[in-house]
Amino acid sequence: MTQERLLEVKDLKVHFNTPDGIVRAVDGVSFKLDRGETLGIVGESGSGKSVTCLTSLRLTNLESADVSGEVIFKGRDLLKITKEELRQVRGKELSMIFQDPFACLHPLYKVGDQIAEAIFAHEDCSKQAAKKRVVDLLGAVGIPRPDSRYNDYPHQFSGGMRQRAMIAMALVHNPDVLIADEPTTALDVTVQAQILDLIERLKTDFNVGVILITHDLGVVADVAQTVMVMYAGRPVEIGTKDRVFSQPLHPYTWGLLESIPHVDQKGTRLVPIQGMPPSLIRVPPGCPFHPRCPHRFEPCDKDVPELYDRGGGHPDACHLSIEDKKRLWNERERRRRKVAS
Amino acid sequence: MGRYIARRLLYLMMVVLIITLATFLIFYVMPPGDPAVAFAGKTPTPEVIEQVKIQFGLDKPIHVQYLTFVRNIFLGDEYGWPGLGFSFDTRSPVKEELFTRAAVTMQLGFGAAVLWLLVGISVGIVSALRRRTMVDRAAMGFALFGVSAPVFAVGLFALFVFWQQLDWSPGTGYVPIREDPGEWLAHMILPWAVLALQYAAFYARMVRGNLLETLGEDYIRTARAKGLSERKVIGKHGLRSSLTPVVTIFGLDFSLLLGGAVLTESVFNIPGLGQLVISAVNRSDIPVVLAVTVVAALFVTFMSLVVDVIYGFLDPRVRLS
Amino acid sequence: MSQIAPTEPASSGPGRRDGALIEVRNLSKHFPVTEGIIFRKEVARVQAVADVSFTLMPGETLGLVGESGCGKSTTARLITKLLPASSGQIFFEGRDITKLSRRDMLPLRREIQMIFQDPYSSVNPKQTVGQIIGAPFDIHKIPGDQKKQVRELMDRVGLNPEHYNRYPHEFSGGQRQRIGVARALALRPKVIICDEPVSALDVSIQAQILNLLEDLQDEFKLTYLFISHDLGVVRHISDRIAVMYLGHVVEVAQADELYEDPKHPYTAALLSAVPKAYSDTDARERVVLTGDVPSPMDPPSGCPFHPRCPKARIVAGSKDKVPDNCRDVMPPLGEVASNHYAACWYPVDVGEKLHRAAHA
Repeated sequence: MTQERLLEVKDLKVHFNTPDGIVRAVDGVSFKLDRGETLGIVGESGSGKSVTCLTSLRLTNLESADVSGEVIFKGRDLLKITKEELRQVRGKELSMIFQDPFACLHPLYKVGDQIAEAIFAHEDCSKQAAKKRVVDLLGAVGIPRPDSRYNDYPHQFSGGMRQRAMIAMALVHNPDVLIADEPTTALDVTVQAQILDLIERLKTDFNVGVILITHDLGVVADVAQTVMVMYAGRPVEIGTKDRVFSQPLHPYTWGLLESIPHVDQKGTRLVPIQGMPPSLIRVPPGCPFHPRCPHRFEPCDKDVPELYDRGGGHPDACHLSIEDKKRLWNERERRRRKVAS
Repeated sequence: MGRYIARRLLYLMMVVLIITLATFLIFYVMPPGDPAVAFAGKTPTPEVIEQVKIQFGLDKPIHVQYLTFVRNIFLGDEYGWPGLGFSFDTRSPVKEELFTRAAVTMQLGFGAAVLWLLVGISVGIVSALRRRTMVDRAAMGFALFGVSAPVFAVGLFALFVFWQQLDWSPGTGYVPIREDPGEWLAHMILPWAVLALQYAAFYARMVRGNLLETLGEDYIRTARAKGLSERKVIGKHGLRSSLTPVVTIFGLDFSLLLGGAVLTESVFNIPGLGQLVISAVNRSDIPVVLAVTVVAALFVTFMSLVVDVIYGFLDPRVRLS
Repeated sequence: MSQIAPTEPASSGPGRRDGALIEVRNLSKHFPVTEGIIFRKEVARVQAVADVSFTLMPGETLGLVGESGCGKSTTARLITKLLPASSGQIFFEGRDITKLSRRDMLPLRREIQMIFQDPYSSVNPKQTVGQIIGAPFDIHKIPGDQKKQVRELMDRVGLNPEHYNRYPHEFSGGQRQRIGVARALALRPKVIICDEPVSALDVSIQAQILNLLEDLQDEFKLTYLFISHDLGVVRHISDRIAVMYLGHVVEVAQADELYEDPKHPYTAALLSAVPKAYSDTDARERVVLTGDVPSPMDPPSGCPFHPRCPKARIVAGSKDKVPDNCRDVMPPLGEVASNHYAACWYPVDVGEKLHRAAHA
């Protein structure tokens, strides 16, 4: 089966110039996305996951930022094309939904009109036809009584419905790629389940590539096929979901997995990662994770580990040998299971 | 909406009652001396004073005087509706004088408002979009000057330059529009500009701030992400949110102005409400002061109601059922 | 099949236990919605907390879970008397504190402390950390070397005592929460009410704070009422858990029992909705509820969950029908298994699958 490569990000760097110094928000990120694939990008706040995706569509404030690298979308570098070419990509071939559905809709315009606006941005269409399409879409994303809901303002929608409306807006032109930036973080868990279900269904129906950015490992495990874990502006490992969750290669991923309290497991003592995430202005030399890493050794505070595939299509950025990694992870797992039982 | 307006109108009436009571107390009860003496002229005889007292009802108990005053406002007096009393000074009904003067102030205020809205909003927008460029710095420098420069100084300076030195302006004074529209305009331009300067500066800063704040909102990012052109993003999504609050401020500024643009009227010798009040105060012409205060207060409260209703239409979040 | 739940009155259920530190009996709180041109009359009420009863035993952690707007934070505010209750009673060590005046309440405030979600917004940013943590000593006029006590507290919660004179904005989110913990701990309270204490934190930091709370509980014999929307966190830290929906407590049980064998269909749906990082269970067995939580201003009749309940539809045998008693009568919080209480007419059977009904 041949894969259609939709998006390829190569060595993306985004550095913001601030009065306090240069913030290295994204510092060398590369990944690929195929049609029909869901890529989950996980990381804590400040890991650069959102900036990566916003920059791909040039939605970050580029006035004060230095951007380098490439974002190849269907053969064109989105960082280099003209503004008009970019405008034609946005919302048509590449759509995005955001974390806070409360703030993402304009409070003074009707929800339906805001979605219709996305139609008019890319094609000529009569008002009636546009309205009909919007009403159909609202129905398709699960909003009850879509024809009367068309005329509601955002504050009359619940959080879950607003996110549905955002999704409808993103799907107006049948995009190739949907980027969802923390789409369920502001929502309750039962509503989150509805939205994740919806994204999953739409991915199959519309055959799009999805990038799902989240801090919630559970959400990633639920919907992604490929997982990229980020720390301090860099990917620390990329692999299939099964590999990353069953045989993670990076000590940071281990720490994350051991930090989450589990719903389906008895309360054992959590193993937090020591210390705090680094300031992106003063990223530690060498591996940015080394000050918090219990397995650090000789080269970690000097050499930056490159993202490197040791075979198996599961690259990671860590100086430990693959044998050490397997041994250490298995030891941790044994310890965890022992305490749990 | 109907209920809301009804409640606000009731509230407005209460405000008017409170204001009349306060002004009445301030001007009739608190000052030492007898208002009738002030009216009776330079050499009042007891008989004249007595006559004056009876004529204006000053012989009645104070609460009766107040009730008559309020009743006249709401129901009219012998000079028609609203009953605003009789001027001690000009010896004529206050109403006519006041309305003539108000019309002049209205012309001054309206012209200035058009000017300051045009200048203030456009400077603010340009400044926000060209943030941290020379244009922005120049505009904000101008705004700072405008906000801090006192009207009387700017007015006198403008007269000196455009009248004395350049002779572009016909000078101070007022020509009614019906007599000579050209002269009317020539006389109004400088006062408009001077009065507008301060407001334009303030509005430029406000619009710039609002627009910059709005452009940082998530929904602006959404607008860009759906592929709208930058012109639409700013022209439709940005301006709608940043100009809506301007409506409120404008309504209040404008209504306050109609209480009299005292300084501008004085500098340019324009016979508006402001000048009327000043001369009335100087001559202890209490009914005039009282009438202007009441009318101005009514206007301000009424305008704030209008603004709130308009705001309700502009912002669906405050729209009341 | 399912049996009708027992119908004992709620107060004989989980709400009465001897030796309870805090006991809440039939607690309700409504906020009036008024309308009128001059005279405002109440036209509606938002029922934030409805007839809630539970106990908090010394040394235990009771988790209070539910989605936004379910009334869990209002309940916390009622117990700490930051809000007056509309009806019902609150007992502290057997004493009715519902009607206590502000002044009579003061000594009790030493015993009941709170930790908030965002510690930054609950402190004065112009005060130093030392002043913030020392404030309870001033308020309650505690004699002694305050500075020394504060430094000890800082050290205990994992803050550097050298940072005594720093300001809150100089600290990260996790450290600010440590400040909040130190302040709550200052007067050695008996109970700490934790209102979403780790919700704003990243997972690695969240784990540090949870461990800290556990250590402090052991060391100082603390009792926690732990409020959170995060079911993983609640299970991790709680001994017993109460689930709230639309102002009602719908289920109370031991933590493990609740998670392994939820009796209320809402609890079952809630648990199955949580995405799990370890994919031991099949994610496709999720019960996806339809619709949103109803407005607390216009709550449904009978059981508040009946319009979304998959179980009621199984019982009625149709996607569009629910049994009459679900629609008409609020089920009492009855004991459905030993020490396991659920407010449901048709509790979920062990191992019963609800997701098919939800998708049917």
